[in-house]
Amino acid sequence: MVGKARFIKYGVFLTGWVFLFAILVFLSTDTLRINYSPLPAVVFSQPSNRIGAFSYASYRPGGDFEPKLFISFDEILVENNHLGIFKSALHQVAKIDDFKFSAHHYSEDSTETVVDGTVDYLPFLSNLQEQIRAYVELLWYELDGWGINFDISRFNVSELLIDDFAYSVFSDSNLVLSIKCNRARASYDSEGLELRGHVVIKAGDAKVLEANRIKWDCENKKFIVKSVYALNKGNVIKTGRSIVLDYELEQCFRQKISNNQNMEEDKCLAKL
Amino acid sequence: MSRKAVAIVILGVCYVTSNCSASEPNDYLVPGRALLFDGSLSGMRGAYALFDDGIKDANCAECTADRELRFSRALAGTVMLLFADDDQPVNSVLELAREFGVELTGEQWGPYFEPNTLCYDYNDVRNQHNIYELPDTAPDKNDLRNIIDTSLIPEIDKIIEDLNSITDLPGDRFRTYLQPDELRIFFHIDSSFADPNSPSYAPRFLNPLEVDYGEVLLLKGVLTRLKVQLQANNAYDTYVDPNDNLLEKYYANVLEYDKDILQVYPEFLNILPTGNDSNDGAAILAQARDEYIEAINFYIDAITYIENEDNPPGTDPQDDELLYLDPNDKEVSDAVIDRLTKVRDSLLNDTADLYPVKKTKIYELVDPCSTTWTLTLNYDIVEMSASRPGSFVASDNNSAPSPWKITYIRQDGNELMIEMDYDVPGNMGGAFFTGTLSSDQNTISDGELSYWGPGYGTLGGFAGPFISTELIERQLDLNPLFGSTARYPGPVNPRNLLPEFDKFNSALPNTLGHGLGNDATLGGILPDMNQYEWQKELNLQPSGLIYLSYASPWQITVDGNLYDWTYDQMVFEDITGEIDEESEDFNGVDIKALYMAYDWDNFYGAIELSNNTDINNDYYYSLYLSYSHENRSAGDALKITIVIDGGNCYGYLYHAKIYENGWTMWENTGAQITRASDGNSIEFSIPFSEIPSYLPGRYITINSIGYDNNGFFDNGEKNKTHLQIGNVGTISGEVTYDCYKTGPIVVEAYTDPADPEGSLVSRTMIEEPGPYTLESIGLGWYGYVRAYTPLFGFDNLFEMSALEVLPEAVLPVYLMASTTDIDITLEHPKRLKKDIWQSGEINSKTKPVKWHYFDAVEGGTYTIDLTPITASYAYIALYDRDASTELIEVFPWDTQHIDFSCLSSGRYYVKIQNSYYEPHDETYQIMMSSDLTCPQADIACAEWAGVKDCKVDSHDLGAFATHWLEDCSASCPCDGSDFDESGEVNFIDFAILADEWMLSGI
Repeated sequence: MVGKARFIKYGVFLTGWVFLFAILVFLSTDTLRINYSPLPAVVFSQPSNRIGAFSYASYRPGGDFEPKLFISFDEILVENNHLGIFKSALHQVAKIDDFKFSAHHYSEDSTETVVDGTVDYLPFLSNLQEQIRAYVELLWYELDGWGINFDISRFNVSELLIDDFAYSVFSDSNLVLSIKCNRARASYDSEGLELRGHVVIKAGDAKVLEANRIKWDCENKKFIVKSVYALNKGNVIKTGRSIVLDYELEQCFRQKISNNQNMEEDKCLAKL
Repeated sequence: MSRKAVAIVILGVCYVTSNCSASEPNDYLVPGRALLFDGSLSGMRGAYALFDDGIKDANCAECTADRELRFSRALAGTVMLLFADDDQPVNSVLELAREFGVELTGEQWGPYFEPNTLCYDYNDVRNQHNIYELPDTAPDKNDLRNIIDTSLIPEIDKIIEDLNSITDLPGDRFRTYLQPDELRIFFHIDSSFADPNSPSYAPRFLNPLEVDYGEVLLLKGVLTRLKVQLQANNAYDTYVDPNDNLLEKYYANVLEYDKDILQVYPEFLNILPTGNDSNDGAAILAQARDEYIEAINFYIDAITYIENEDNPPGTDPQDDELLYLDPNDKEVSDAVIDRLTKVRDSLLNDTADLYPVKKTKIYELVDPCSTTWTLTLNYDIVEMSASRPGSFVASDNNSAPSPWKITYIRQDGNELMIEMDYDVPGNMGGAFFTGTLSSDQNTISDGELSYWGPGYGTLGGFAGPFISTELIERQLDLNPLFGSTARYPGPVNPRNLLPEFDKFNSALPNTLGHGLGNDATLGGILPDMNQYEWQKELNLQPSGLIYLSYASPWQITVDGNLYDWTYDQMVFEDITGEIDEESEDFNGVDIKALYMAYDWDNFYGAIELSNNTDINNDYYYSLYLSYSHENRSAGDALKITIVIDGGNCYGYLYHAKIYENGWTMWENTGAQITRASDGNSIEFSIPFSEIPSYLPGRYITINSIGYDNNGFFDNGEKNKTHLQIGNVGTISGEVTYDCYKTGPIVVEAYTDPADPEGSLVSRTMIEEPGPYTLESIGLGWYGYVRAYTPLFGFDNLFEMSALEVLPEAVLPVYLMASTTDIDITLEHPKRLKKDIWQSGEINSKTKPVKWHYFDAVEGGTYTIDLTPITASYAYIALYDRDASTELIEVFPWDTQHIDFSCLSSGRYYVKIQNSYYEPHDETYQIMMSSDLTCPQADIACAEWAGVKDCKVDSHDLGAFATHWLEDCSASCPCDGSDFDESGEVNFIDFAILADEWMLSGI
């Protein structure tokens, strides 16, 4: 009798887990798939500042498994950040390892924002800091339901450091833009995203930009290269130091606002 | 007595005694801290008052000495240095800002309340251009000094006194905790989790944050250092006559340190007392010295305290502390303490000491192809990546390209990441190395190099040991700066440390410490420095006019030997050994001297090197001759390049040609250059007939670059001198400007119409419209002359960024001899009249930007339309009343139309320019329309003349009267008072005003 009761008890417990998993899988209006590989350590008691490998995918409705969004990472670790030579528990840094993101847009789903006559394919990068944080919060929120109890809001993250960053956007299965680099840094005290360490950016028309240091100006959708770079287009290689490019890797020229002022701005205009 | 009565009595007694009996610190701390962290300014002020009351509370025996209360008052007091707002004399930054008319608005300071946090506002001191204007009542330099001495420094002393009263003993540690609900104020409400109104709200902090004696010591250090800084500034003579036009010269970029400041003010930067100030500077510095030592002691004590908090380990875990030291960062904190200790001891003992400047670590790695790589990592004094972080060089090039210059080193735990590049024009590339450092940092393993550019690839498997380390140290002695020691009883005058400056404000070689007889040690501050080291470190270059020597017939034979050159033909003598130390063994790039001469047919040059070239290497020697002293590649520059490749010598003459499309590019002239090299010397000659323009007036730059046999950059040097080839003349003329009000006018000569700033040849400033003279322009020069002045003049410092009034057209000049009568007329922006098309011309070369303006009234809607007649590439932008803030820009490919709803009355500006370089006169038409029609005589509002309010009243009459019988021009009709545009403000205009009297617009 005792054995039967124990069997029922564990049976209910396991059924609950399966049910929770099913809820998560079908959480979104689109088909949402959350895959753990390997399964993170489940901690029922105190919150942890670390989570292991994780992946998340969503697909277009319709059952053809056409991808819409994919996010994965090997680890997220939140720890105290530096303040000069000191460390402080006041501000923390979230370190994300091996972060991969890809988004697919379909012309049939005509909900994309149209800016200046062109589809805005870069909603994610337009405000990357907030977006990463939102996705990470979402993930932790979901995991909290598993009893993992990891809630980023209980930390004071002011900086995101992403090691092995990979980002890509597709339109109707065609590559619009991809970025890979050793480290990406986003901070609440500065705009944009700093890309460091063999940054490789590919545009849809097979242009490839490589450099060690690139700032992604999210607001203006420009790549500001601050180191020696190589821009490869159809096996024709242009090299140099410092260049400003738009997300199609077209060069932006620097124009003076006024002839005598030192104020300058970038305009991606052709020059005869 | 009934139980009820007893209870009433007891309650009554309790009530009375609770009011009369002694308070306790928490009576002040709890409400005070709640106020301190409520995110409002009034809360912080209230908190300070509460803490202050507590410490002064005679009924609270514990309060006076209560450490937390004292610390809280010190913390709040530090904040009060910024935000105090009371009836006392000025004692905070906020009150000081108010003296300048700047008010802080808003109540919330915490990021939690963003975006509704504090803002500054200076509406009351904005002028009609919406620009800040210094109020007449603003404090002057002496007032500021007084505020610092009598208010701010005593406040700082009070805070330090509070901090001094806080004790910390092994058995009685000072610790206080900031609670989660207090700390939330430092963070945004940026997600539902942080929003108290959200059901998913969760406090950000799981644990309170510990603040202890370490923070007390640090705060003492910071405040003491601030006090030293505020005091020490008062030790020197900084007097300049406010009526002197230094600001104007600075704006015009013609301010010369030597001529305009040091010569005019012989006491400038001397220790007080001087004729301008009777304070005792030496005494101030003596006190500053003691406090500086005190501040250093606080820093050292703070770091040491924080470092030992968790000793023995586990007694005070650090990861919940406001500030703590990670054991992994011990090397850095040790380095900081070591430097601070040395500075302190040097001041205490009146001695100089050695300070590490650079530390180099060398590793020897081997790749899978058995190639050995030398990894040189340079760190600065706190073990961070140095400005020249090192190199990565292979013993051969069997596996991957080499050598690489490191640009950045990052160490994250045991992971080492290195960014590298090579920087050869036309052959640039980058690389990225990652590797694993052992815990003792004695080996690197799992190294991987990825590279791109001309070659692409990834090579893994690098591994190898640490080989050696090198420490570069330099002697430093701060005692001469402070004085009051046995060796240096009197402090050194900062003025005497300065070098001699040339007219471009560049330091001249061999003149550091000029006021001390060119004492390179700067009065003993840097005891082991000499003038050679300064020249090498700062790459100091000579300056002045030189005249090319005439070479006698057959004197010079271009054979690579310099025996046929005379000493007076040497135009530039360089120090040797200043090339990159990391490649000292790379011969043939260290320039020793440059010779130049001419005869009737040829221009001759020779470069002497400090050692011989190597036949296995390639060398490029470039002699730039440019009219611009700043941009050696500006339009019309010349570049003579001698290439030595495998022992063969080649010569090329390039010309920076300005093309009609606006580009300036180096063009190989194909000139026949006779050249020869022999060991450590290079000679060349070029027929004058093959040089596309003249030599006089050009500045000399001589560079060298050497490449190893693999084509990679290895070493070189650059000498951008301020030596100018003689035979120069002047350009003079007159500047006229109908709408001139105040301030000087800048006149410039330049070569590239597409880039006047970048191709500047000569510049001068005149006090007002009238004659000007541009000097030091080479005879034979061809270029352009223009003038400009800021739209609102120079009365207000903060209006300098307004648009610049440019000439109707810039003037081309060919200077064969000193030229006169190059007259320039400045063109004020043209007024746009409602519903009237105006025509204009634009030309990227001579009329690059055109400005118009219109007067708008609050509430009105305005449209601007541009019709390109032939100006197909013209596009418009709308600028605010300050004539510098762009409000609306229409992209060149869009219809050139602007809709504008006016929120503030005033004058707005429209800019027209070309999106493509179009060097021809092209015409356009522009028109402004509005739903408002204001009376013609509306020329003023209640606050300002020149700002419409769409009705004619006494304000307009007042403004009109100021121009009565004034002569006006068509472009500048007396601020609109010349209604009939007759050229004079007279009775006809008055009749118009009278006719519209009290009329309002529709």
